[in-house]
Amino acid sequence: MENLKRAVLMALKNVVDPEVGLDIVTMGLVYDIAINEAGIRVALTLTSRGCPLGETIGSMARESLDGIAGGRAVTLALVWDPPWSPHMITSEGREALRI
Amino acid sequence: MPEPQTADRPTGAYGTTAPFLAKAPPLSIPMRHFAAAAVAFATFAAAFAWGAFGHRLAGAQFQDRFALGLVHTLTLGWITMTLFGAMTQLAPVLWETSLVAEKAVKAAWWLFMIGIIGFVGRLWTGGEYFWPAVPVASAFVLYLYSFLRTMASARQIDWTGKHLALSVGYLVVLATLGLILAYDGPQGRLLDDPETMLVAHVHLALIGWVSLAIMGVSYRLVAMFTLSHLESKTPGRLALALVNIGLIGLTVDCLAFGRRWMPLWAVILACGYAAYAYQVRRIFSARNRKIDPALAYTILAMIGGAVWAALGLSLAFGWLPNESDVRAAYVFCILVGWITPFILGQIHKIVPFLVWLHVYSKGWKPPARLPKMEELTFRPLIWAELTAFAPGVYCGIGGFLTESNPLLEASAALILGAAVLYLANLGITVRHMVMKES
Repeated sequence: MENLKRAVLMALKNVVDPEVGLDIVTMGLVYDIAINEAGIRVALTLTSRGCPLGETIGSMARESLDGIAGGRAVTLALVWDPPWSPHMITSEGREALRI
Repeated sequence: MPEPQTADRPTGAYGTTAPFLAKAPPLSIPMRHFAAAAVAFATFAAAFAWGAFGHRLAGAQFQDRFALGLVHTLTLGWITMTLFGAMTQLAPVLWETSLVAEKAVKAAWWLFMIGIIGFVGRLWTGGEYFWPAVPVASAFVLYLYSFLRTMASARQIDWTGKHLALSVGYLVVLATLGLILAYDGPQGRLLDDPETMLVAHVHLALIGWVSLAIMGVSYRLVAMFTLSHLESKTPGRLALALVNIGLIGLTVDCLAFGRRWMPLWAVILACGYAAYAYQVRRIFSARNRKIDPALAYTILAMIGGAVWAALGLSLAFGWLPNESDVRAAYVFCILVGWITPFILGQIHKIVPFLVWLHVYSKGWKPPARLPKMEELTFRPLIWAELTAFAPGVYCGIGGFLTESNPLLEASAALILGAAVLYLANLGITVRHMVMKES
């Protein structure tokens, strides 16, 4: 399971915000990954409600996960609590942005 | 990782296709507006240069037809065309719905184009200009129909949406006054003192329609582009209240009381702008991005807005004489110093985003790397555009204030250079649509 969780994270790193230039894991947009025999459930957020990239990021995340799910069902949940803030960007991301 | 709370959208709402792309209007709808607006901006820059080098600008009267044509090339062709294009894209996204009545928007675009060309053409070539104003007003009706129906289907109207709804309300009033002024024309068929109505029309357009829309959009887009968060909206709420009070007061005063309390409205409007600027300053203070050309344009716009507020106070209190050159500087400052740099900055973000969304994100397969939006532009050329534009603004304001032809010529040359670079920058982004196809 740990290997699969790592693979899920790697797959989600393919999804890059084209404006910021960081992937959604580094941006801190991935809140939770739950894996069991039946499926993979990923809880995602967006930088703000009404984000113009929202649905595109969702479908790109699904496209990425479908490739590594190995027959498991993939569920994406869009969550708003806690609200995303720039403090959730990883240190690697902050360095890339030179914050 | 924090424990996620209940999703407010059904689990698995994302399909394998991009639902957003199904909701967003076709790329051709916003892009036709932005393309027409870019042509209008270049036309303004060329006509401004023609006027400046022909010494037709310094000392020109407010009712001068060449100056009126210049102003309406900017207000209708550049600014309003851009706002309509941005609203067709932004409103459905903000309100999590679809653009309603796309055909009405397409018809409105054609009517608007015909109206602008006819109206400005008549102003510049002579003759009646009421009839060309009719297709402009008809286009507004169609845009409003689509906008209001889209708003009616919204899941929620956020803060930005409230600004847009108010600005559209002001558009209705200003268009009505504009039609009356166009009918009245040089003959003075209806109005004993058209200037009071003209002052109301100008302020409803530049503050009520355009500035309110910019304020609302900036809270959303500037915060997004700076990776900043609005922790308190209090200054913005104060700005919204003050701007509305000041503008309604000014309009009623102009139309009913002969402009008795203009200093009061000027103070209220200037305070409203100060509160807005403070809100934007807080967004910038909390930013997590480096300043790029688009954000630099926003800063330039904020400075232009402050100069405009100072000129407005100076006119209202009589610190500067209420003469045509000072009024020309005031209008030039709001149009070219405040509104235009804000639009230029946002367009340098919006157009690459639209091209990326519609051209590159479709059919994406991992782990293919997609270009970043920055890679769809050539930043040094955008910086060059900004470097030409910024001094052009202040040479122009100085040129009108001092009736200096050399300053106006310098301004015109710099703004024309910036407009040419702007067209080149748009071309660099838009060519990706062709490159990807081939």
